[in-house]
Amino acid sequence: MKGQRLPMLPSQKESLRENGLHGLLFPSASRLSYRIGGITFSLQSEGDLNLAPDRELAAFAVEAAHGDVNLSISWTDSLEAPRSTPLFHSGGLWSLFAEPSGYRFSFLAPVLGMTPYKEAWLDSEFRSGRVLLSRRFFDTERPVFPLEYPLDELLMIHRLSRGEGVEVHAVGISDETGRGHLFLGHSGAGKSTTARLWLDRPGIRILSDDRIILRAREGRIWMYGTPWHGDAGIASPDCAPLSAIYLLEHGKSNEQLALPQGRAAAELFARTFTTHHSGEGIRFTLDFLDRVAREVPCSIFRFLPDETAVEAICRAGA
Amino acid sequence: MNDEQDRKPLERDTKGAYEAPKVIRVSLRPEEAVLGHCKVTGAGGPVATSCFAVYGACRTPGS
Repeated sequence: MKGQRLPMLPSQKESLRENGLHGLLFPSASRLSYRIGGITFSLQSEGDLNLAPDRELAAFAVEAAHGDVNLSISWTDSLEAPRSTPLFHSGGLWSLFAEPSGYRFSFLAPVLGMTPYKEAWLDSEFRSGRVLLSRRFFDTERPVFPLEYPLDELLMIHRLSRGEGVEVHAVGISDETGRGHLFLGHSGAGKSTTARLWLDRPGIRILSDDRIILRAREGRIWMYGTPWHGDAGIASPDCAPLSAIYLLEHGKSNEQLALPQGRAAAELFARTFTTHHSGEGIRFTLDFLDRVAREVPCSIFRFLPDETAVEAICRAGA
Repeated sequence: MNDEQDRKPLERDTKGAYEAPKVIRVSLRPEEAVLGHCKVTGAGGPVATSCFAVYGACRTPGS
């Protein structure tokens, strides 16, 4: 199978057409840096590998010789599935293994068989590492973004779990006074709908309609936008101080119910992306969410998918 | 003595009523929480521009 090119699916041809334009917008390079949530990722390619960011990353690109997380990227002829027992198996694309030098992510896709298409080796603090891409599964003549989903978010949540913050499943909105409103929800709860309802209001900034990073800074909690958007396609590198948290639920009217702190922390945890294999990471995450729940009012927000929902939030904050 | 009497009502006010600990259930979505699956194949979202970089890698809709 080595060296064999797999057949291209119709959807992939469409993707390549899009990436043709993408290539014009974002020329390939051997170095690439971007900053999300105040954390800078720097990628350096080796050999003939050309890097190109996802188009959503354009707004997050920075000039940085050295990042908070530094990665070297290279092709490899083939990868083998690790024989050891994983620390964690996602049930999907990735598994995590303990290594003497830190950790190894191995990426498998059922359609590709039992051979990994990618590996990422990281030190124990997730500050540096290398990413290996198996040539046989990529078009090596084209630039690639080696941190494609889910590796980009995995690196983020592991770095955040080292005392930096958390990533939550939420839409983040900064109102005309600069106050941050965080609307939490699983898939289908109404995050993108909420983002669209607020989109055209004057003075509003939407940080993301799907993934928000929370960090403590200057004695308070801040929320940061990410490139990982939802169906509304909204992503911004902006940030805002967090003023209120809402747990989204579809309702027959607009209704806000205050949550006790303990329940709020639990509901936040249920919508947080964290390192489930690491006791240390879970401990930090729970402590951080406990602080968030103590410092920021949290409520259930049952809402109608129309303008009245926005007005209800504005009235409550007035 | 007077000081003590004066303080007691204040302590009662600030402590609040005792509430017994109770177990609450929250709804988890493990398939979303672990970032193991693509959201919707070919649709917008965190995976929109990534899954097709690898030939057919992302055929596991989930999060």
